[in-house]
Amino acid sequence: MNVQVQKLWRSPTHAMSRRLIRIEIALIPLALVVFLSAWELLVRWQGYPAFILPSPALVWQRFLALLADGRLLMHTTATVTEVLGGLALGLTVALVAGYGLAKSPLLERILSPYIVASQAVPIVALAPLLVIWFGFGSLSKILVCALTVFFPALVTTMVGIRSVDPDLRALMRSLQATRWQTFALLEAPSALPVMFGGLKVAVTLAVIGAVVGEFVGADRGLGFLINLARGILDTPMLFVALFTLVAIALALYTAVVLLEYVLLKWQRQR
Amino acid sequence: MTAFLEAINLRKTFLDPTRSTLLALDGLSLLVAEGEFLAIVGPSGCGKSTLLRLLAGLERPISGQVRLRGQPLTAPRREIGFVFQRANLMPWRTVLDNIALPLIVSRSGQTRQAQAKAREWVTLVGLEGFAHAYPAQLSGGMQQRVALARALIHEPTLLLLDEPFGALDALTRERMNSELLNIWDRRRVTVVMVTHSISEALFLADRVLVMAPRPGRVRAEFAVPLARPRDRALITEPEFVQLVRAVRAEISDV
Ligand SMILES: Nc1ncnc2c1ncn2[C@@H]1O[C@H](COP(=O)(O)OP(=O)(O)O)[C@@H](O)[C@H]1O
Ligand SMILES: [Mg+2]
Repeated sequence: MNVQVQKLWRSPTHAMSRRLIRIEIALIPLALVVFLSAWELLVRWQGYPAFILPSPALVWQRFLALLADGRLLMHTTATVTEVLGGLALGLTVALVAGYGLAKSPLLERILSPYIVASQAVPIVALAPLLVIWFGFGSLSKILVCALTVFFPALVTTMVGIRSVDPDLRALMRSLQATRWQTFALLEAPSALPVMFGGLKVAVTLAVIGAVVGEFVGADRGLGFLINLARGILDTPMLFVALFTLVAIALALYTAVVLLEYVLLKWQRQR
Repeated sequence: MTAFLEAINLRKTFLDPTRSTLLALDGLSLLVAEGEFLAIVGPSGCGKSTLLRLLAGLERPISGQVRLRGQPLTAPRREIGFVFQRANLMPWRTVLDNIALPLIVSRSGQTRQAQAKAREWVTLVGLEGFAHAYPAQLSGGMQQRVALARALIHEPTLLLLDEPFGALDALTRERMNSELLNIWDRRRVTVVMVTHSISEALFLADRVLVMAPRPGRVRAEFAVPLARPRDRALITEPEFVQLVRAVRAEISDV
């Protein structure tokens, strides 16, 4: 009987959210159609030349051509590799450092001036240096990317770990939990909601970081492709690269949202 | 009376926001016999929670000592169950997983027996059907029952309760009182319970301590000579009402 009560109690919210999701799913293609039509109309009325603003159809053609000759795939792979590498590196270092700083006020006092100072230097100014030191290959871009991702991930990790309920800490101590158990059973799950906020910011910043790195010096990647397109006034190709970047950022963001959906199941059960 | 739990001359200070020291407890001593139900009442801020945390080994006194079976207690122990003022559940764990937490921490959680034991406790505290619900889906009373089950699953010899039912409505509170008495009666666990309800203290306990504030110390002690099992109707009896009045006089006369 209790189970039934529980189901009844939950069902209205579920039905409501399902309806909302259905409306959202219908709205996304609709908005896209509106956007593309407005763009097409603008080009026709104003009669812009293709190097100023190409029509959607022209961009689509360019997209197919770049897809066919394999260049788009090559550049996209390069950028995605840098983004994923940068994320992996930046997040790992930020998680470890953030945990350490959250646990040790002394460490925080000693290191925080350097961390803040590192944020005062714009990444665009730092990128050339990294390219000089680590070359034109993907390593320098991975480092630029990692640096961009580091700060938001660090701060959210610290906030997350610091916001752990002190009474739950006392509970874990009263159960004589080990350090590892306290981390795995208490700190990690309770910091997770905050950290997902940071992760969403980080994945979009990671794409920007990779492009900044490629702008400064690279022989491949979507940032390189944009630079190339600008040089030869191939604006349709520039748009293709731009949209591909947007798609990468969206895919990463969606992946994070899905992960959050799976891991934070308990937050939805209210 | 053989002392099961002893507090000897406990003194505890805190730094308050203005950086002056606040004497939370001073020269507090008490004895608890094995199997006894002791209740502690006192105005808020008089150091009841601080005392319980010292008795649990969660904090150390500045001076004085806590002894369990004659041995100094310097750190938390698994044989001590603690129920906090709020239910203090992990919102990301289901009812079953919250109750099983102590078994998982003591590494007896992987076995099928431990799972079965947690299930048993879900039923014992009347939450069958809610085993897979999350704390946010439960009422305050249900949450506090989960907290109680979590404290008891290790079969502690000493149960410390810090105003466990303070946030509950009167009816739920009465039901929880009966459940607690049942558990205490069946398991013969020693209980020290802080409450701000004088009648709750007298209804449940063998002995009631009244604490005085600033610094926190024991001001008075009342034996409760009421026969068990106790019935709810008791609280309107003249004998009970007189006891309530006597305890209240000690609290308000500060
Ligand atoms: N961690 C702490 N830091 C500073 N002061 C505290 C701390 N814990 C308790 N106190 C102070 O000690 C006194 C006793 O607190 P507490 O034991 O919580 O009282 P009670 O549970 O009886 O209401 C209060 O004045 C409170 O402000
Ligand atoms: Mg208290």
